[in-house]
Amino acid sequence: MQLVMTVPWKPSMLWFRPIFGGSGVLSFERPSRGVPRVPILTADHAVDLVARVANAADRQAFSELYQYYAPRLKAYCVQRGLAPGVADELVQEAMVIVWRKAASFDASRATVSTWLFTIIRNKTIDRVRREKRPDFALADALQSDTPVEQPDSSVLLQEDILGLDKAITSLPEEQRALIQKAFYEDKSHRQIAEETGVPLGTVKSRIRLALSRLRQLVLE
Amino acid sequence: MTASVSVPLSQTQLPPEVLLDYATGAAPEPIALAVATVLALNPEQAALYQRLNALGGQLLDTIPTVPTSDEDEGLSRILARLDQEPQEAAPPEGDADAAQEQPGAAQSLASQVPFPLRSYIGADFDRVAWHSVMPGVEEHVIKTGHTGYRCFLMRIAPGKAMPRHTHKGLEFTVVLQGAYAAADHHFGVGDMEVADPQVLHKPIADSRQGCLCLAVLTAPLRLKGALGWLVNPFLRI
Repeated sequence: MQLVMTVPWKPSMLWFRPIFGGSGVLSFERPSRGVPRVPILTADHAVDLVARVANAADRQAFSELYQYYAPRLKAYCVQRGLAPGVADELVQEAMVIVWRKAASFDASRATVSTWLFTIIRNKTIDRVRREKRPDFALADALQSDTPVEQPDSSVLLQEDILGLDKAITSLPEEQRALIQKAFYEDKSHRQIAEETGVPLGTVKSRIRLALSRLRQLVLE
Repeated sequence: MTASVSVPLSQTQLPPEVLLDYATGAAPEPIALAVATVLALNPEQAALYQRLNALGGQLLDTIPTVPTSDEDEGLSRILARLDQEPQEAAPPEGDADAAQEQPGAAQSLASQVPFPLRSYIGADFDRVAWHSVMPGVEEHVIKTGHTGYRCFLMRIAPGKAMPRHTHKGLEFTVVLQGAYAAADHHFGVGDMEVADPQVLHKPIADSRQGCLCLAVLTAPLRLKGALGWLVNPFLRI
């Protein structure tokens, strides 16, 4: 059975972000000069498109995903300092993974954009550093004999979706800028400290404050 | 129902900035392996990691787009390529790992290796090629794609104290089984200790269970005292 058919989403969640790219909460201050418009895509429609790729090898659905995500994946790669040609290749590789692994996408655990982010991040690591990306399996924690409460993934997703925008907007500028830099550029918190001249201890405490705030606000 | 997650500001949990490095992709492979191992053992940390991934997804949604060089041709190129790209079936219900780990399988629960480590050392701690570095302490070096760091497993007998040492670089330690005490803190399964050059410590393994841990060193250890001087060549650190 396809997971996408059993997503425990509430209708109210489907329009958490009516138009992708609309909030601009974490977007660059850089003006979008002359950048061609890319199609808009709602979160639930994206899930539907992935389901069609998985269930029916639907090329039209795949094309829609490509048109929305390719320019974003490329932007991500370019932002991390990759040459445009390499970026184009990685975009192709990432989109091929979408095609191949569409059936593995679990809409109860992540949005399509989150899935795409993890794909392109891992592709970039693979290409730039020629390293493996050790991943974890949440299911593995269930197998362990450690008595810990397993978070309900659907509850988590709901919190993520409803709370992230609010949480990020409410962060102080210095924390938001730091998190943004960390995600966009291939730099560790130590490198960021070195480059910006902000003391390492300050960088660490800003990250800790930001992450704890993310958690708290998401739970409010 | 809320999945309440506490803020890990304690000295014994995975530091948030290290988790962030893993989520953004900045952590080198040995550190990433240590973080992934914590996530496999600690669902609370895994939940926070999923939130960070969601942040990454949101970034993709809001990023100023850059058109691919070949525009429409890129799409036709990839569509043509799809014929050679077989689609994979959905993973089976439940977990593939579970199927391999039914009770009665050869390995005991105690020998189970957390998922992220399996591609490096196999699925059974008892089958790892351990070698003794001093009485009561065995280790196994893990090879990663990142040659600058030293990454290894340590199995320490119950109650055994490690030689006192400081660090040139950082030492990341993840407890896989048992526990140890160091610098007034108790580290249990799924905890991570990050020791910096200022830390001079003498970890002591739990008196009942001993300790099995994953360690990553970014630079050589400096052992203190006569015993350290003797042991140093054997540790080959």
